[in-house]
Amino acid sequence: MELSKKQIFSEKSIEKIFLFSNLVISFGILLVTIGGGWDITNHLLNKPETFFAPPHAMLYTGVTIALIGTVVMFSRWNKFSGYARDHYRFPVKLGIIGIFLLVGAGPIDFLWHSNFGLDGLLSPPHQTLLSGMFLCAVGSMISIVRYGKSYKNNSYSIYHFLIVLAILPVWMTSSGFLYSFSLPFSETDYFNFNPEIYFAVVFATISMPFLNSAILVSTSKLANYKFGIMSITGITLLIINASTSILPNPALVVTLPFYFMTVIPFVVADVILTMTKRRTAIYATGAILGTTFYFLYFPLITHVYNEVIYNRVVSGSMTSNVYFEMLPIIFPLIVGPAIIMGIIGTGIAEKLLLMIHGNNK
Amino acid sequence: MKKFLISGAIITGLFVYFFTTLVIFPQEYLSHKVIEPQPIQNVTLSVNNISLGESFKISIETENKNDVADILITSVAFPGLQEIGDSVKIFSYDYTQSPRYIVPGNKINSEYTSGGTITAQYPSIEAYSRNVAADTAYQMTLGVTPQNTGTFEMYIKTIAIPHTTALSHYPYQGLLDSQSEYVSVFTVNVNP
Repeated sequence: MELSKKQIFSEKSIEKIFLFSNLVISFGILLVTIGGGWDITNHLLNKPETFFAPPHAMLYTGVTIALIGTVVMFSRWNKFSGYARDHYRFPVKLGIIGIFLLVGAGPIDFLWHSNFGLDGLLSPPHQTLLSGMFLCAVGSMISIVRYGKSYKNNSYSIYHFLIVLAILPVWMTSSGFLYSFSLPFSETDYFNFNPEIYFAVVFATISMPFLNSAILVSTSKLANYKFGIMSITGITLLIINASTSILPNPALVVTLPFYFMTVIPFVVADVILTMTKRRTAIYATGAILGTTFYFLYFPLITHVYNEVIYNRVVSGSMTSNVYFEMLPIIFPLIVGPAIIMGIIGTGIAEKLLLMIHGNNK
Repeated sequence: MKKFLISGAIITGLFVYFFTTLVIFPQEYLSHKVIEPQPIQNVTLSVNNISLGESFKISIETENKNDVADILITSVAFPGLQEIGDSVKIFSYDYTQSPRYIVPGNKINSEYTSGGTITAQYPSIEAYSRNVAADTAYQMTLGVTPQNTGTFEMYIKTIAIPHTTALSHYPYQGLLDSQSEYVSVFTVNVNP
């Protein structure tokens, strides 16, 4: 029986199914992150009082898809032998741990809602969910990257576009963590897990530009600096954020032209990295990408800085007023740290890519 | 030459980006008229005099006028009570969110959200709805059974958020409560 299966599925075709299963995991996690973003907006605007809300349905559909992907991934990995088995061992481990956390977060979340009502962003169930998402996303990204490392030629291939799907869930789950430790959305009737307001501001100012540049420069490098891949990744994130954080709030729809202006620095950074690989150019790219964070993380970032600057009640229709009133005060203060952290992000990205590629870069 | 042109395009692109996001768009959006939700409320008491042990009903109808409100809150406070206990029951309620029971010691907003948080001095019930379109009304009816003789007082007010003008709350004048917000005072005489 085992032999006949081996005859049907050659190592190559097993590896292709393995790749596909990792793409399914990435897609599932992407759905979870989109559902999560929508959930935050839904909580801000509508304060749902039950577990059974549409964003939760999307979120747990994503979990189901990721679970199916993980089962297929693990079964295919079990059929690998020798080099391939060792090559993918680490990302598979991450995926397995991640899916256990992800699936376990569902009942924990339900129990939390049942006992304590509305839960905050930094609640244990949400952090369990985020940790699971992050590990799954990173695991499948590493597998996809390792699978596609042979594509070093100059022409575009499907692999370059798969990087977008691989990297987006990592970016979004990472930003979910950053939001957890900076947004003041964690105080409920039972618990107050809100981060201290000055810590939140400093944390956001340091970590968000770092994440932007680390992710986007990594994306470009993984795509052998092919023009377009970084831009597509950035623009896709803009579209997702606009769909989950801006469009559901009628008062913010007018800000869409402002929000999509951030396409410009993404394309500019992409052009620079396509033209030259000089270290100064890469750092310049990191600096540019770092400075976009206050615009990219609109509208949620309003709540972080408002706590220190105005401490107003930022209801749905007042978000843009507070954001744009703060802009001339905030931007001169954050632009320096944003540039520095953007540059550091590019340096760290290079080291992370070495790890992602494994021993056989 | 090609590199020179691309460099020029990059610098122009970044200039356009920062100029529009830091100057043009903020000016444009801040020039938009801020919404002004204007709540009004109508309160009906079933009786003005009762004997100790009897109950009365108080019905509050609140309507949001003029503009959409992100949140509409109607508060009924009982300054003579230490706790609501069995003295007050909700008979009917059609606000979109569950009512909040405020107990003395809870942190609550003051001065129509501009005064930070203060500690609640007496118990109250907050009824609230979210995303309330203009000309939308809600009602709540409470059944009250006072435990002592004398004058039983209730402070009633409605606040719309965003609170952008002096018309974003009701009443517009009257007694200032412990939150430094205007309230309408309703009383029922409880006879021995």
